[in-house]
Amino acid sequence: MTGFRPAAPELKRARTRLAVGTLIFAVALGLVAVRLVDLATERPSVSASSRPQLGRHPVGRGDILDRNGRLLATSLPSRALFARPKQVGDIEGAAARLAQALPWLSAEEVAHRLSLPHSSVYIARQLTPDDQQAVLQLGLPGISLIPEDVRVYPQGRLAAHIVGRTKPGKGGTVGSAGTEERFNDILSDPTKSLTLAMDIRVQHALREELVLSVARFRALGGVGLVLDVNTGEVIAMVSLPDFDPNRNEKLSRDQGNRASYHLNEPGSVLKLLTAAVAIDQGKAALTTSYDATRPLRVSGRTIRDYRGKKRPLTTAEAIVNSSNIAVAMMAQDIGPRTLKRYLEDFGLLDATGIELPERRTPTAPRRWTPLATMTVGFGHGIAVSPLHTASAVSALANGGYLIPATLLKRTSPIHDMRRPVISPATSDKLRWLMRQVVLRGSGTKADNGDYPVGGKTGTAEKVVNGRYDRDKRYSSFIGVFPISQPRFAVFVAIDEPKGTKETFGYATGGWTAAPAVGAVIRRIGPMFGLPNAGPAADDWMRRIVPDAMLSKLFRET
Amino acid sequence: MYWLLGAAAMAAGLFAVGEHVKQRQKDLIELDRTLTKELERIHVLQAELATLTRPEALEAWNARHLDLIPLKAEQIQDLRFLPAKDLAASGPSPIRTRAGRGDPVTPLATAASPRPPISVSLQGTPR
Repeated sequence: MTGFRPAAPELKRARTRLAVGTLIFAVALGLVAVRLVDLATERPSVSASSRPQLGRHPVGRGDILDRNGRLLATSLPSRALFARPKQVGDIEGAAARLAQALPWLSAEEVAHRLSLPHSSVYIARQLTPDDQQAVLQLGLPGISLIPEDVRVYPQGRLAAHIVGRTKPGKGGTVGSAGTEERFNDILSDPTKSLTLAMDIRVQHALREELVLSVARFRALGGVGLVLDVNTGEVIAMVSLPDFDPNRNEKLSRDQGNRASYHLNEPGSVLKLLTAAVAIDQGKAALTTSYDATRPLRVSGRTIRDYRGKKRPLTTAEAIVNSSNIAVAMMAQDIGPRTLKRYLEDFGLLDATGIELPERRTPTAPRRWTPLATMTVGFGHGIAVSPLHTASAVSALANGGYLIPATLLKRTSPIHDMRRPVISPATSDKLRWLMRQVVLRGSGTKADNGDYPVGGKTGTAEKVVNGRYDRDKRYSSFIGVFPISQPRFAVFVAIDEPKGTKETFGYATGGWTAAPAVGAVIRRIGPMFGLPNAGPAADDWMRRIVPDAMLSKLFRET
Repeated sequence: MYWLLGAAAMAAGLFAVGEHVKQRQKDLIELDRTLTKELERIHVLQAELATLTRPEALEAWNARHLDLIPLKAEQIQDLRFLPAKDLAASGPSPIRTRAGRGDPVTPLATAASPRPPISVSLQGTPR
């Protein structure tokens, strides 16, 4: 049996075919391999930028928080009602149906907007989820919802003047008042937040007491401030009447920030500064006597005392009885140049550095004549904001350092930014004087058994058409507590209070603002864990003025 | 020929890994979206919580359900103002100490302390 043996040419042809076939398959496999490598190493079809950023809030503005992290302002996602009029068709019908779904919309207004010669128009902004659902259910052609963010202020009116508000702007909402405007750059970044020095609990207590006082004395408005005297932090700032930042209402001048923007004559509160300057300059001691027997005639004007003692008064009596005559003499002794320099050092002649767009430069005499110097000495002829007054009085109480007031929570030591204005010894004497005002002077209604308070009343007649109006007062009180080791300054002013039966018709700072300060202090002291004053609360005073000296300082006792 | 087969195998492996990575990337994007939605919901809830816990709202809730009153200054005391107790007159302490029973309790403050010395009597149950 012989095997099949192909002829040599056939074998050769078969080998050639095999080789060609192998080559084709190899090339095809190679192409597949190249393509596989290509596919495996190509750039991802989804670019990194389309991936949502982790932890990033999708709406466009940062939060504002109080010093304890309580939310004061935040942004939430919302939708705007948007229309393309050309696609709407029946404008009257669409307007009527929209007004039916959203009862707060006017059909006429919607129809008017849809008739405008624009390719697209906003009909309403910042719809609530319920409103959005109502619009979607209508299914109207040419009407759509587009995403936008809405600024929400959970505390409502409570912190309105500090937080401010926003308005719709290019590329989202922009700050239009308060810290919203001042820190717009920071807040425009949704990953950042702003922590304020304000404590919402203190703000609430202050506002509640101020609302009560304004109502009780049928006043035009009021202002309240709580300042940390050792750091300059604004713990609370209330201005009445206020506004709800959640509503885009038009504000009147009265609704402006009375704490930082409105200027008023501080009245007798300024006597503390004059006394401080006189003592610091060695022009007066607590025992120095001033003749307040009769009114003082200067440059054709008469300086009188309100319910004066009509006798010589010591420096201590001049402050405790709030004598215009004695303090005018004190200012005269100091001289215009020195008094002006000190008031500059106390920050009373420049705008405060507070982080708000609503701030102003005080008004002061153009020429510091002898009369102007004397009237400024007892708080007239100069107009400052309550923030100026509170900062300056804080400097009197904290050992003599002016610390710039701030709305932001301090995170670094303040030693570099504080500036000595008066000596610590003068500061001690001023604390003693402030305590005496509350113990035996016009500020007794600020006293309470809980904490030792020191302070000063101020009652200024308002200037109406260039003249002082006796019936329109700006009554204030500034209290510092605990005056033995000062922590906080509390300022309250009532604008045009009317006397009541309980106050025997009086509407001065001692009758209107001082009780409010006392009530605020009673409420906020425990919030900071400040212990009860205890029986030795006023022992520190003997170190400044020994008991034996009291009879020389207060002749009636 | 073997290198060709090896290259093809490597290419196939690389392709498989690439596809796996792509799938993972899609999963990650989906997770990111879910997370962002959750964060958004948390943010809305935080705003709602802040609204519901406004001081005036809390006051109203408290008046309706709890009748709690704010802390008063007299409820906070400084240790310095606690009345001192005469240790000698009060007899041996009922507190058992390591040194033995009835040793007098050492006052917390020392003579070097700037504060007045404080005597503390711990009320224990004698055994």
